[in-house]
Amino acid sequence: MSEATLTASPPRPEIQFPWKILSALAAVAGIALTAYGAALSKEGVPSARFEWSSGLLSAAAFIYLGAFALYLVHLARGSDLFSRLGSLATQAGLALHTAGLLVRWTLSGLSQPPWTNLYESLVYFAWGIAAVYVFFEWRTGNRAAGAFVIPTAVLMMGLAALSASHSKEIPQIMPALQSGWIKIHVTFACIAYAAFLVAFGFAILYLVKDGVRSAFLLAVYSAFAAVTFLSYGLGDVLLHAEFPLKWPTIIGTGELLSAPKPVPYAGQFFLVAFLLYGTAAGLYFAGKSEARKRLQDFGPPAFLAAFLAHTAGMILAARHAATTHPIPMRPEMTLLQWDVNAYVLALTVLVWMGSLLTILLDWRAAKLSEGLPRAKLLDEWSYRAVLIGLPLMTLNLITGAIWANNAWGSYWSWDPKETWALITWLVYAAYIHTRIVAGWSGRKSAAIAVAGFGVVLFTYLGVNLFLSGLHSYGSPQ
Amino acid sequence: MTSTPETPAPAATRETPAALARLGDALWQILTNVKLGVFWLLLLATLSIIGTIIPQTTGSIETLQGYVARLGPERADLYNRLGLLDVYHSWWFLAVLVLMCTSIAAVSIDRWPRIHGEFSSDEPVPPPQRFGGPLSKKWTLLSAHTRLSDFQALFSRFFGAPQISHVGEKEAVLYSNRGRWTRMGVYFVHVGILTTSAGAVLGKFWGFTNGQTYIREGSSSDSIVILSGVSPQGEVLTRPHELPFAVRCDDFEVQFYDDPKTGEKTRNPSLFRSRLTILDGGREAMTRDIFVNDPLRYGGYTFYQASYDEEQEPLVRLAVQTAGTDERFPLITKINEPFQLAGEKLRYVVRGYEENFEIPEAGVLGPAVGIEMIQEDGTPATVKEEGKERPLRFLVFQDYPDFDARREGRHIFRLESVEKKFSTGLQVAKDPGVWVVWTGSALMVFGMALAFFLSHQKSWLKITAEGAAFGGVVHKHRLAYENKVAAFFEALEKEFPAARGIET
Repeated sequence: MSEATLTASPPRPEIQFPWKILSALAAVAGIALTAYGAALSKEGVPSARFEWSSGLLSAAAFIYLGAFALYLVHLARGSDLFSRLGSLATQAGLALHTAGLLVRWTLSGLSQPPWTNLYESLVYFAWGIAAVYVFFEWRTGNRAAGAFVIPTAVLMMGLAALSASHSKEIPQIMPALQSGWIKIHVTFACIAYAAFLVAFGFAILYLVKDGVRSAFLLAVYSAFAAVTFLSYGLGDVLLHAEFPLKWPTIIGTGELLSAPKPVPYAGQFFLVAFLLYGTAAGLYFAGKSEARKRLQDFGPPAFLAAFLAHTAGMILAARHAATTHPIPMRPEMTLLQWDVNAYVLALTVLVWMGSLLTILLDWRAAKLSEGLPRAKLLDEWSYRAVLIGLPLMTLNLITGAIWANNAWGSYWSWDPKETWALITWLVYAAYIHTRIVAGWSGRKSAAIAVAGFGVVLFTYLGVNLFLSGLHSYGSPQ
Repeated sequence: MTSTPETPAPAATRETPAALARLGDALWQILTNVKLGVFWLLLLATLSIIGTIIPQTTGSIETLQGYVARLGPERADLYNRLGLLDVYHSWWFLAVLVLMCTSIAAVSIDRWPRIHGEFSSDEPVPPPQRFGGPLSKKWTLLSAHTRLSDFQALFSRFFGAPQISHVGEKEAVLYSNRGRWTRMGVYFVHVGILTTSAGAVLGKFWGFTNGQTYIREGSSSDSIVILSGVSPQGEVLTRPHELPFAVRCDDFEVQFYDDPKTGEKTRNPSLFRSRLTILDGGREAMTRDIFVNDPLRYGGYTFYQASYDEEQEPLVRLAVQTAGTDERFPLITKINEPFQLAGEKLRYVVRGYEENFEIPEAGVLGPAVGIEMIQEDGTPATVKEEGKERPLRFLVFQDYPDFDARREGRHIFRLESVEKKFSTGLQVAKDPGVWVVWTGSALMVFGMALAFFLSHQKSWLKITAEGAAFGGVVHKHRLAYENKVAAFFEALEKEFPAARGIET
């Protein structure tokens, strides 16, 4: 009989701090903040209750950012204390986030759930991520995946915060959205995606623990970053044939303004970042043969340079954006106060966060690996997360079909969002089949979990950025 | 299959069945290969991507017309034939779907004996090796005062109420066999997928979803139009369809949201509502309000609130007062429909209607009609003013009833209301497969719950005079079961402090 347990070993005895009491306090505070907010008046524009709800959501966003920082310190130093603090911060953020959402819900007299437009959807998906992550932390006792999961919640809250003020108001939803199914359909999507994100987090930890060379992970990530940059630069290339001259307009533009205003030099920095990410990936794969092994040594420096260029571009864009205002005459034409396409911004920031994590991982892989539970457990947790995600994804598709059958007159329309949700489902169905029947596990399964999350990301953000269809409620235009 | 020795057949015909059987076996081997199943899953995912990148003409006549306009009829037709413009209904996409379903069916048949065997296998009397596996342990019990019921209570706390399967003089076996239905989970999922597909086929061949009809308020219709595609020239092709009953639109209503800040009406619709009555065999079979998310279902047909049309010629209700008297009479007219009033040679005609008349300096003045006076031959009547011929035209406002009195004409007009009739736009579908699809979906979800969240666990505790032995087998979620077993061992050793574990 092995001594294996599903939960990781208990914390070392020297840290005898009442963590559980603090977690309970956070939950109680959440309830109290909800009750206080619900008791406020909802008269007036904006009402006291509305302000309270928005305040709670902003506070939650900042607390998640703090939690991400703490998890990063944990990643870099392997300190249990910091992961404990990160965990507590996530729980406190979740308590405030829940309170904010509930108070917002009461604003519509509970008739309209707080997830009916892009702003609300971002806030809700961030909530789902935090909630599912806290659940997994509680079930597994492991806090290392936070560094890979929480930044996604931070990103979504950040994007929501950047939305134009009119989209933060309680939306007047179109008749097609006035259905009880919106509550259940979006909730299934939210939790399923969050579960796949957690599966991704554990899969990365598994790969680290299993001793996959961090140079390899770095190369794969570089390729992903380069492809992402290329994918949204591609629009300008193919449509205008003005690559790389038009490159600066990808960010800080543009599309919604009648006269696009490129951000000076930001585009050039992004172009350099794209080329360097590509180079970093290329050097690794070119150096695979014994004869050219030295090439691989240049991979990480190229990646670091790409990251710096990426950072510089983001700073320039941010500075530019800070001085750009929404079009006052046509408030419905811009979604972000930064006149940037929300999804381009999301991808740019997401790839940046990923690069930051990749650098940390490359630098501290050994240290991180030391503090992780055994590889088999991480593999099992990743699998468990998929086992939760796939049935919920099925329910997401089915409830969506039932709703569509009532609203659109057909249960399946091959709308791009619908189709990509099906693609996501097929990918995770493949994961389950390879695992249960073909006996895959470990690295192969982790690879699918990582790639699968890329598909999830495209389904949630990419579809609305690149494709159009019936699910246009989440579109910036 | 081989031929019987009594009836020797010519060599050629004897070989053929054998070769066929070999071929069949090989084909079966391929079909039941799980790797092939995964390949279909991923191929389907890949092919699905194509249809999300190339704008599809599924349900969008405009898109196909756009292609025809841009590529010309020949090339649009070629792309259409290749299935690129309607990937999800192309022969190759459907072929992959069919192949995947075939794989699912073949695998299900192929594995049935094994899985059914595992499902129904019951081992109340365990073979000895069950107590020697990785999930087993043996104890010597030094105390003689333990009773079987104590073990039973402890065992059932962890593994459910046991079956006391083997009571001899010297030994008893507590046995639990839990979660065997998880073995059937995969069948529920796969049968669910096949059922859903069957429902889709049913709907495809014996149903339609793109029927359309517009019905004016107060009138009824017993026929609809089904959009069947677009011709190579880009014309919309339709076919008529007779309903076995008639639908009457009693009332249509569209409401708009108020701006929360100013309280003014916005152009964002908040509600579409049609009151429909089904006229079946000459009697009113059903009257019901429908909304966007709440269609009407009758006789296998479903009517969805899809759009609406405003009538071009509204009914104008005027109140006319003869100047200098209190005599007032109502007058109902239509736009461009002349009418004559007693004592006047000229005729009047309502020329236009504004729902919200706006004058730049004066602001918004509400509903108004413009009235023109005409001669008997229909030409505009004019009046000479400062040497110029000026047409006799004037405005009548609904919100300012005394405005027209200032004109000092022979009659004073007041605008009571302008009534527009709506036509409700209904989408009509008839899909006999939809309940089959829901049944398949329910089977899938139920099957996944069985397959993913249960595990088949068999546990035995053998108690003899000398001691006890535990054995367990589990086929998935091993870690969770291991935890449970470990906790059971701990509890057993706590409850029976005399128990001594023996390394196996």
